[in-house]
Amino acid sequence: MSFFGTSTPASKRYQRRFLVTMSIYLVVLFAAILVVKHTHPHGWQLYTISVVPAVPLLAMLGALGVYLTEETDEYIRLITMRSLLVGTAVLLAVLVVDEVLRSISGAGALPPFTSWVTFFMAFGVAQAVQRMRNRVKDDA
Amino acid sequence: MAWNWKKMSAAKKKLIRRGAVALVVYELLWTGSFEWVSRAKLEGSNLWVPAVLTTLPVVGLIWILARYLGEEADEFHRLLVVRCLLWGTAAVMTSVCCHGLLQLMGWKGNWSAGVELGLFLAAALVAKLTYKVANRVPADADGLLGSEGSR
Repeated sequence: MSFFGTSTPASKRYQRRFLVTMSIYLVVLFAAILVVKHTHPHGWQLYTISVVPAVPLLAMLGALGVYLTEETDEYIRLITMRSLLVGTAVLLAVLVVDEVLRSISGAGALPPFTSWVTFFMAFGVAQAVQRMRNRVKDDA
Repeated sequence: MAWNWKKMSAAKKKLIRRGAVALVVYELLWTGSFEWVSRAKLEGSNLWVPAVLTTLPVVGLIWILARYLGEEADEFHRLLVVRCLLWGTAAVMTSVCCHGLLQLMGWKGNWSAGVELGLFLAAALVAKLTYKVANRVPADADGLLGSEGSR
């Protein structure tokens, strides 16, 4: 039993890539915050710094895309696809509620990074629920 | 790049029809919510009602994609849709990440309404067109014409 619940060669590679990109993301994020705190950039410099942490985030989703191509187990791929759909649905739902509230009343701005956490939580919960629902006796 | 309705698979036709309906419903609900709020002067927790209502067609859009993945027999087209979905999600995440970080750094502004959903759809569409061009082979512009084409 691995961290992500599966242990095919493709999923092991995915886990490795995910952990690497996640670590890079955290390092880049804290570095960006530190840089802004100490150098107080404005204008385009601030926008550029805000884009940098998105790169490992994109790499994380890229790793998911590569995994979907590499995974040969059709069932595990289906579970991942469904989880991705659930994660995207929850992410978009949260964003639309926030946008509507912001537009019609000026209220409702979510705290930073809520959506990001929401996506991965929904993705993880969807995976766990599907695995539990499809569990057979020998699989425990 | 031919966009031939007749040669599309039945599942893809359903996806396009349902997707168009979901987007029209979204636009109607979005406009309706604004009208409702301005006329009825909704406040406080009542504002959640139009906000959640507007979300329904968006969740519906994802459900439509899920149905398409269940109905589509062509593995390549299924994978293509999932890749487009990933690109759409990546675009939204990038936007959200930048927005969050800018706020954390003291920026007081906000993205305009509809930016995230627009980005999602635009990125998914660009990915779709790019993959289509990259994987193009003669007589395969819109799916498997002979075997699983127009059902």
